[in-house]
Amino acid sequence: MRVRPARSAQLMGRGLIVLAGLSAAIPAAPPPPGTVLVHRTMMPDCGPSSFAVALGPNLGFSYDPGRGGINYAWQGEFVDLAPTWKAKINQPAEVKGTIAYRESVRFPLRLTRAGGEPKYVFKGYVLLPDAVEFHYLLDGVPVREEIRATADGRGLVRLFRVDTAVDAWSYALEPQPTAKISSPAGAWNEARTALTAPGSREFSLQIEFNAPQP
Amino acid sequence: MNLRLTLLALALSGSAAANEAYRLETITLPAAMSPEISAVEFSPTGRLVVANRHGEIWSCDPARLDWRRFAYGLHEPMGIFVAADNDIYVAQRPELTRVRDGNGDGVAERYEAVNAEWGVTDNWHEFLFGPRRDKEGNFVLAIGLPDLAGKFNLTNPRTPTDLSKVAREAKPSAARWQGWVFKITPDGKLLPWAPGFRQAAGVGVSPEGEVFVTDQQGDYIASSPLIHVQRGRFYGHPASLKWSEELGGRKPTAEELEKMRTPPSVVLPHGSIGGSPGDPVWDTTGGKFGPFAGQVFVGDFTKLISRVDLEKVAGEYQGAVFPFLRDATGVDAILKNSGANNLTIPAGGDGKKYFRDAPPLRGTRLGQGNNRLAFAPDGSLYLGQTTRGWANGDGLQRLVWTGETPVEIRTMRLTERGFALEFTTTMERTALGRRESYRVERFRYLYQSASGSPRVDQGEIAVTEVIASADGRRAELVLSALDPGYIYKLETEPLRAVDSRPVANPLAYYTVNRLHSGRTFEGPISKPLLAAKPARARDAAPNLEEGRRVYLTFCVACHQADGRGGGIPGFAAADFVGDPTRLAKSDDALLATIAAGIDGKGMPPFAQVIAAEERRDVLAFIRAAFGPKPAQSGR
Repeated sequence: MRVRPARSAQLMGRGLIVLAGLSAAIPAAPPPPGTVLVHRTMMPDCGPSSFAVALGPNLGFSYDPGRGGINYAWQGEFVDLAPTWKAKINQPAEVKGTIAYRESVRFPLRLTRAGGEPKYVFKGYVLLPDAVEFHYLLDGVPVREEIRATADGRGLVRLFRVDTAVDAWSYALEPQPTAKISSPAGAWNEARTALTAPGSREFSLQIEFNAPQP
Repeated sequence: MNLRLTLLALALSGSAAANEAYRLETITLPAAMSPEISAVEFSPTGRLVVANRHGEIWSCDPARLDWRRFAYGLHEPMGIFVAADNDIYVAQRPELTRVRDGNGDGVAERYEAVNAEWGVTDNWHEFLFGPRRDKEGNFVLAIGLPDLAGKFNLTNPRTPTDLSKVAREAKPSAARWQGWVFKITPDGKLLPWAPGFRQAAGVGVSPEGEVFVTDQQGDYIASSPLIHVQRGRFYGHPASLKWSEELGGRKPTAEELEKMRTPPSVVLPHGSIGGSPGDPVWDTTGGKFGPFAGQVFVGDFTKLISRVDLEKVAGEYQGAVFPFLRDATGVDAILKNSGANNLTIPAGGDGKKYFRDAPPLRGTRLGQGNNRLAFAPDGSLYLGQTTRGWANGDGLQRLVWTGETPVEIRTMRLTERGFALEFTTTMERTALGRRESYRVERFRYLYQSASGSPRVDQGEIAVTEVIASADGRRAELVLSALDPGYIYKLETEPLRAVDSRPVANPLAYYTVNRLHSGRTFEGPISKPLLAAKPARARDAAPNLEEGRRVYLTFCVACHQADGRGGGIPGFAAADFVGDPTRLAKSDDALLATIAAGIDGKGMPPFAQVIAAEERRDVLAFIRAAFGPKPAQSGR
């Protein structure tokens, strides 16, 4: 992966180009359009060592490797990581934006139509040019979840993939007063769960933030 | 200036001599890199690789300093293992992570969780140390205990959490395996290795493949030690026993803890040999770093690098620690305050001299926070420094052997009757064979729940005979008493090499856990054997020399010898000289502070470490040395 110069690439005092995400120069400055920034850190109201991810300059979300899902997503600048770095007894980062989407259900993804809480094991992530792909096991089945910005930058597209077709995909959706959720391949039931037909290796969700109130 | 020229200009800034035998250099880091260096290693191809606490990994050709960022976004990594230039294992707070560049552009895009089966709560004190690799390919790691001064995040825990305490520890083990040393197998499985650690901030694997760690002085840890970690043993701090399958949740009694505890291999006496050690690294340079092949170097948070000579006695490791390199700050300050070189501090009322220092460095100064050490392929020793919240002075330095043989006690080994010393060079024979050239005393530390321990059962030990070798390189000291359970302190002040150079570090502490016969200490490890000195009357005048001894033993690392707290400037150690309000308080108020400490400010409680009369002595010394001086009448 290449680190691209920041949108406002500039020469600093000693002539070094400030690169996106370089901590000493600009703590967690939002990245340029079409790029991502991923920091594992202390996030407010999240499990330990959650992720702060920026998808371009105006969209961010936190992924929880303990809970297994997106804690919340926001519109606005990224996060201020200074509280996590500036003192011996560090504090959570500060979200620099308006949260538009939240989750709280543990392991909201299921590889079955029904069933209990799966065993979730976080396995890492891959930085893509304009997205991040989280890897984890659900009851031992490897899952890849790619998260990128919607075309208009006002929401998230989540693409879940497995190597071997599963019986069914489902996702425990929660009421979202400021976002709309859809799944192009799925149907919706009363439990607000999206399902796909048996035999599928992919499942996607689109999370679109509501337009800001005038 | 273009980027390339700028990077080339980031040359080694320090060229002044550390002493004649070693040169200390400060390596200028790129402006874009956070200098809080928390890991230093070299790749198999010789690239210098560092990590910092902002979560980045950078690497460069150490000759060109063409720094390039390899990875970022990690959660406060404290150690790395460089498998290849494009394949690095990193100990970040929540996880052992493999970071790889799979597409060959020099920047990592894959961050793979190798193992994360221990608990985390985002508490500030939950550092993960390591990874070092043993001969079987396992990664060795240690996770520290959290601290009650910080918060616990119990949201979405991945292992059981439990804030209860096992004994009287100050810090609980809040989640599984906190306070343990453990291994991660090549196929990613966690093997609990040994409990009993408080904050094992330095993890090392010897050339023989054995695991060693350093731990931090505090509750149940009398003084920071170097420990040979053997599977299933218990090393003193009880909090981690919560997760012991053998105990099954049962809380051991204080007596059981004493019986279970394995003593540390080498104690690093608090104050004299630093206060907060980091990585132990073995000199495997084959002589490129001087005459210490096979010995262990330990960085310390204070401006100190120490050297350890290990040996096996009756089947267990023990040995001696020597100061190796100490910054000049203490010397300057002592000269200023006492008018005497620190090597010739006037003796106290009891005829003893209490504080020694290495010869002053010239030019570049050794920084603080020497947590991470690594030998480079060229034999130089790189020092990664991070001090967050405790001081200012992060960065990267390196020590280069100039080729001149230093004058040092190379080894100190236990014999049947005392110790055998080997020097790095030929010594002046007359002094080498004189008993008066050596001063030996011994003391013990107590195993107790209080933070640290006073030195107890102290006493001078007579050197009854010295057998010097014909070649002037060795001397065997026969002592009047040699018993297990004591730390033996050796000073060799008058000794010089045949070329008149003095011993650079005429001080050593040998931890005698066992005699060659296999005999170990049989007395109580939590109580002194000797009766305490008779208490002076409460209204007796304080003893300034005793106060000076206490200050130089327990206070100087933070408050510094000049009383300005300058040795750890970012740390809240009071500046007694520059801030007159500090000593404007009443004696009672200041004595209460010394006894109870200041929670959250780093001032530890000394009530159970320093006796009440010694606290009065040290306060009197502080007032006399650093307080406002009475107005003097002019001529």
